[in-house]
Amino acid sequence: MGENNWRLNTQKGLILGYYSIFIGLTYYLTAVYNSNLLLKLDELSIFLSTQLFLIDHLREPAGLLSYLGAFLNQFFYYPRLGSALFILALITVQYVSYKAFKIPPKYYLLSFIPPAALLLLVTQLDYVIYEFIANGFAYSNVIGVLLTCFSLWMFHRIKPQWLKYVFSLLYILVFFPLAGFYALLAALLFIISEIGTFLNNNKKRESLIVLSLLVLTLILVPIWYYQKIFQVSLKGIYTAGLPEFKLSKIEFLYWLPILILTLSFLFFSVRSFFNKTVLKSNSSTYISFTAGLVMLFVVYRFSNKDENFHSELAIDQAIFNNNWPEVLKLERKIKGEPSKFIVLGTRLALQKMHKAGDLMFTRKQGGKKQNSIRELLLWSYAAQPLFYNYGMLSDCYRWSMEDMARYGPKVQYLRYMVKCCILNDELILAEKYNSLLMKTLFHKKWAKEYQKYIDHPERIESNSEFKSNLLLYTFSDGLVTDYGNLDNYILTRLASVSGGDLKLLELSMQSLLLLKDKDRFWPFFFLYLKKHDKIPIHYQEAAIFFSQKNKNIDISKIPLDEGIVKKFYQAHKNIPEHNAQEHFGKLYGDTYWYYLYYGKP
Amino acid sequence: MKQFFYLLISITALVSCTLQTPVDFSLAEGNIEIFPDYTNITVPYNIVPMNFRINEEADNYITKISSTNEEDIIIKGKEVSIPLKRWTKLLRTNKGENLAYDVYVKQHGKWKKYNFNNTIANEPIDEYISYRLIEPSYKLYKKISINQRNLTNFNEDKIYSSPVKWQCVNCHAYQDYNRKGNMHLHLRGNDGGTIITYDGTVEKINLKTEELKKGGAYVSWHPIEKLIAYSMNDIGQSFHTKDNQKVEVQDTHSDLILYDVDKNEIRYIIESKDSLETFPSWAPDGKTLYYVSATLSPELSKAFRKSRDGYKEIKYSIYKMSFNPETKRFGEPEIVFDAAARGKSATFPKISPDGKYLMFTMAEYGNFHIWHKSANLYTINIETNELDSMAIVNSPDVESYHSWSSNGRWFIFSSRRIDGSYTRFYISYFDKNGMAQKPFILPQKYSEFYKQFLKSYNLPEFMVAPVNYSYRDFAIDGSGKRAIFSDGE
Repeated sequence: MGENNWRLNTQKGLILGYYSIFIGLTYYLTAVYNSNLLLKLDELSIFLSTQLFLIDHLREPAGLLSYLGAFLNQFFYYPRLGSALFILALITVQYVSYKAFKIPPKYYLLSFIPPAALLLLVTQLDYVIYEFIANGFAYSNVIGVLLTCFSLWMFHRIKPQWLKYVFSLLYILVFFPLAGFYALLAALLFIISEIGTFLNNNKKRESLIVLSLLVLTLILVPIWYYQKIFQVSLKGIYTAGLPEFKLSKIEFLYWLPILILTLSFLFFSVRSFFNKTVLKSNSSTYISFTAGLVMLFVVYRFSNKDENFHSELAIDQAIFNNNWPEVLKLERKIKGEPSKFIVLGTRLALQKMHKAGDLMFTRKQGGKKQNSIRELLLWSYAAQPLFYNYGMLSDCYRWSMEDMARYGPKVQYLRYMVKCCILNDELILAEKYNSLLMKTLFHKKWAKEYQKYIDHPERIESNSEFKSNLLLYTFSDGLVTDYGNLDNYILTRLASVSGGDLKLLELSMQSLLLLKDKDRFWPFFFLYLKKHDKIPIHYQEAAIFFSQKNKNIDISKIPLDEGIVKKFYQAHKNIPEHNAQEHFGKLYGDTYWYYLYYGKP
Repeated sequence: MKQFFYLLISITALVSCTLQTPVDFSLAEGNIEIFPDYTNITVPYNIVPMNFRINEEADNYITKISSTNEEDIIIKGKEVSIPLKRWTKLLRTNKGENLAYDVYVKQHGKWKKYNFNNTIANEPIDEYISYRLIEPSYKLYKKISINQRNLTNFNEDKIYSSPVKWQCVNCHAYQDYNRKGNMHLHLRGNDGGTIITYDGTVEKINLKTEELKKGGAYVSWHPIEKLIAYSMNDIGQSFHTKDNQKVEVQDTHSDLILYDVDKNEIRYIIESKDSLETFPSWAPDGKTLYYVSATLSPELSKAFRKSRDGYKEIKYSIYKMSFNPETKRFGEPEIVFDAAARGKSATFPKISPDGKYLMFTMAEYGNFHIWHKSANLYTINIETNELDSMAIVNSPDVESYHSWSSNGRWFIFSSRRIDGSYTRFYISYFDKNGMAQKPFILPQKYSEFYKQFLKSYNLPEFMVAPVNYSYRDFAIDGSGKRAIFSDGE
């Protein structure tokens, strides 16, 4: 008796302890470590409280999942609230899995495998998030799993055999268009459950007929929907409702959570066939606990911990909020080689803070490759913030539209479109996009703020962000085609500016420095001298260097800093033959000269 | 439960029977603002209910729709959502009559009445239209579909959409308003080709041959013969860095070609180096082919290819060529409308079914008028050569592609007039004297639809019958049967 109590108490303690660890880890991996990812997941989705939005979703296979997913996903707007809700959803998944699969109490912790897989589905995410079409990624699978478990639980409660078949048939017919893969998974679990009945049943013939009919239904119903209702590919019909990862070797790792989830369900289902207890209760508890810990380790191990990815998300948020000091702070924290977007974001922040002339070549340069299963071009995720803040409003609008054409309307695109349309004097169009944001639960507040500028465009001048970007929009119109990398495209466009506001011209000069264009540098430089008293360090460095290359340029009357001139001559004395870059970098890595010799635009 | 249900039905019935217009009201000054604007228009008697929203803020609203015959329709609320059956009955029993709208709004406890009138035309509109739904996009796409819509109700379905094989779909066209189910569709990208349905068969054709590497682009079915005229274009796309006209599409080369469905043969109609021919369009009798053409000097061509310079210098005029259906020979090109001489550029020539009018789109330059704010619709009376600028139809924004109904009394066209970006369809009555009337937007079930819908309506085509093929019929693997080039001898 005493030993039993002790065992029960130990078991309860282990379970409670595991709940605490699971909740703690989930909270850490969502609200703490991935708060910017949660914000981005919200921005790359949308939920509108309109009839049309519902109809649009229900027209797609598994549309109910993404509709409900989108509703819950919007709570990531407040990462802590979103995380709490997500934890609640995962705990519900755990509990209904436990109930639906009738997992014995001694294996209780195994019921944490499905929610852990669903957690990993979110925490493993990388740049692939930018290519999701369906709304509500984080939750649509959670809802799919809940539906599967509830359906199985209901199926188990039906006693007459014929009613089970009718239920299954109706279930697939009704729920397949709404839940796609998860309805099929539930149907597959019905079949497995029936196999169990078949094995323990005397009426084998009847059971076999029912089983065969169920299998046929499972195969034919999706084909019928494929042939008659949904205009998608055959692959698309069977995988509807699943994440939009590619079914390829390269993207296999993305599928790991879904694989674990499905296998765990299959395991739970077939487990009941072998109901005889082989292991001692103690051992089963420890096995169950170990399996639970292994699962948590898998979640942690395969969660995306890429420094650059997380920094980029944070920098993107800071850019959107015009929090330029924060961008610099985030960049300073980076330990490894920064990605191109981080370099560009930092440069943009320096330019916005009017510090680029002194500091742009002092920051870390780099272009570390994405640590991502699916690699994306910079255009896919950096175009909108960069174009917008460089006053290239038509380009920003264009890439918001290109993304919307590919991935559907999302909060991120709509917000940039609203801003661009306001500045481009397309107020009716701005109102169209803004009215959609007004129909969201949380972005309504933002939309209300921007509606003021739509209703009163004269207020644009009082908004410093608008004012600054409008000044950069003073170039004249031209026709362009796509070419090269995003960073090169921006530099070339800025460098090609021949007139406009002084701030735009300074940006243009900085772009010429980055492009190492010594000839076109001079007119901009002399104009800068006329309009400013102080010459930033990098401009002086450029002037000294370029004047050496072009003796026709006289810089003797320019009030250059003697220290910089001296530094230039020192830098070019006694350069070692070997390891010149290392030597030069150590002493002059923060100068424009180093960039000229070793840097890439 | 049952009792409650009956009670609910009784109350609903009572409310709907007793809804009456206010007796005590004042007449409002000015016009009521409704969206969409369905005021003072001529409507076909077989059109779907034209639901709208009253824009004026008030405490209560009642709208009465009435005509000479049949019961009035009275609707309460800001959203005027008209019952389909009663609307259909009202319109069909009042052909040629006035359709009166009384809109009562209650503000500060007092009712005031606005009213406006529409006319119910004697002539029906073709029951179906088909079109492409696509974002007002630049280059990239994911979900594009060719849809068909029944104009007598709100039913809409997809004829074919890109996710079937992840293709771009465009240039849907029909022979003689799809009377016999003869249809055309281009599929681009993965498993690209041209779908042609004829006499119940569906074939996928590869129109690109060794001699005609670009294949067919803009299309026009011969109204009677098994012949399809295409333009063959070398198309370039570029983007404005500032201008709100956003996209510019230019041809650097284009000719006209003819595809013989029976023989699977393709040949030149016009092959030229110094001019750009495009947008072929058969006259309803099939004895004339209309098209537009622009002069392209070698210098301009060079500048154009290099830096897109000079795109505003390209001006298209309207031409025609006679065609002998027996010999399948074309006559010499004749100019029909010299838009270039006026410093303008004309596209999409379309002859009315009675052969009396030529409708076209004209803007300042180029041929991609869907992005040109100056693009407007015009008609020319073929007999008198009189040009009509159709002021009542056009707007300050884009008016572009247009299509005549089979009886010639209606035309549908695309316009960006609502917001400058999303093209919507407008339908206008065209009377026997060649006068167009105020257009109205294609009705939708929800009045807010156009404000929320984020796709453009593209290339409207009237049809007298729906496309009855399944999208699976069009999902043919491979690039299709290769057309054979003929030198025309």
